[in-house]
Amino acid sequence: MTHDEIEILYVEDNALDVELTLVALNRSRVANKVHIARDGEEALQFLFCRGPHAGTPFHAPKLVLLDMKLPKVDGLEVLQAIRTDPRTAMIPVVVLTSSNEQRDMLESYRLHVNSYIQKPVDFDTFQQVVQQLGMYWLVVNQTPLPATLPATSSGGD
Amino acid sequence: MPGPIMDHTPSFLHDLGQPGIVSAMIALGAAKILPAVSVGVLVAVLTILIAAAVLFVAVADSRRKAETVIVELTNQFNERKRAAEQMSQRVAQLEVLVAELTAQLEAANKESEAFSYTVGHDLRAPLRHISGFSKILRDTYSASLDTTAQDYLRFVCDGAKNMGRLIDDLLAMGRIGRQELVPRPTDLNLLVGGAVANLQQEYEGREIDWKIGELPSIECDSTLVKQVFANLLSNAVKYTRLREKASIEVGRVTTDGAPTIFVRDNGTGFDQRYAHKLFGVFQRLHSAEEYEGTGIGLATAQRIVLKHGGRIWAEAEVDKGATFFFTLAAGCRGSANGAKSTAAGES
Repeated sequence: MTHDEIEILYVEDNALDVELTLVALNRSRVANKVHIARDGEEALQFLFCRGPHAGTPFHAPKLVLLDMKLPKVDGLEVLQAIRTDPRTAMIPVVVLTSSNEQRDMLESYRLHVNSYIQKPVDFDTFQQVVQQLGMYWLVVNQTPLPATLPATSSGGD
Repeated sequence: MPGPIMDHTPSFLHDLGQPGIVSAMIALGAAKILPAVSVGVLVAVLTILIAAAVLFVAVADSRRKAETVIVELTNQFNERKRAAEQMSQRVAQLEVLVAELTAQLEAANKESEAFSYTVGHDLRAPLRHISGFSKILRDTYSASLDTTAQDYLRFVCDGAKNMGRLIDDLLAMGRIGRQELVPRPTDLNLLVGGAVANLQQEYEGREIDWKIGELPSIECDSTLVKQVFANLLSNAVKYTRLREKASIEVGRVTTDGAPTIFVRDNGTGFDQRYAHKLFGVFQRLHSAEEYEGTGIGLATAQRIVLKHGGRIWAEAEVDKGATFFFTLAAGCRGSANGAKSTAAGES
């Protein structure tokens, strides 16, 4: 799967959560187009074509699923970086986290998160949530075409 | 007739022979020291002390006496000043103590916040994994599991789910403890209406006779008080489950002159001897097999009511339903738009 086929950038440090989410996504038939970033830094490298992704042309995923508590660069910092760069500012970002702390929620919404979801403990419910997410953001929702996005500096090509 | 006082003032101050005292008094904060001189003889010393806001009038019939009076006044003033200094020292000490306690309280609050953040975030993750993978095992590998193994896996799932609920409820209760009340005028009937509507899923398909009386409008934290109604009504719905025709009543009475809200049901009730245990965290009067629940709902309700300066109590009899009463403090002004009702008995 190449960089430009990626539909979902999933930022999650916990391997078991990754596995569970992939199972849930798989059952919703979108698992083949997910890129996993294991911390905030990896996520930013992927999005902005840096580090191991240097040289790949810029490509905006249809959705970023973002955990809050991440090593190195945390979820809020990733969200801020996404919202700051005009190339990524309009990518739908859904926070998918264990925490339902008000301050995390407040900060996320202040940074224009599109949705904030607390991962349900019960797997059936979690499965439903993931399915709804995939359905809504990848099928129902419309985002502006890349050509209509404001022109910016080089995408690292 | 005495001549103008001020004519003699300079000579008095110098003639006193004790200019040290005078300057000391001025330094101590005496705003003015005025000699009252009549025909060349000092008859009084007027001392106006700013700090003590006291006007001393010393009467003297000679200069010698005037000196003594000034010394006395100085002593008195010194004493007052010492007392005032001691007082302000004590005030300063208290201020330091208050600051220290406030800092400690803030630290404790922060710690408790950090604790619940960790509990909320880090404890839920492994639970999700337990629930998730046992569910996947049951779904995907059921063919290679016999029924006992499947049952056990179900228990694992249920256990994780319960613990998740416990954590959520405990966290919610902890939040209430830290939360500041936001009182505003509240129509309790609206709160009850909202709480009943939110419960709909819990009583779907059941016949419940709702009797919602006229409730007062009071000043309270509406979000929290709605939670009280939600918890009490959810209990009422739960414990009337075995009734063919459940009846749940919300109304107001007056107890000890205070407007009191009650929620009454015709459900299972409980043994009044254990009423004191109802509001403890994790305390339950029914087994989880009989009636599901975490034992936090009433503890949360009590916490909210106490935070409002009110009290909550219950009256019940086994198999004859239960009535929960609560007040919301003297501070919560109520406008009595409610229908008058008499004290509650069991229906």
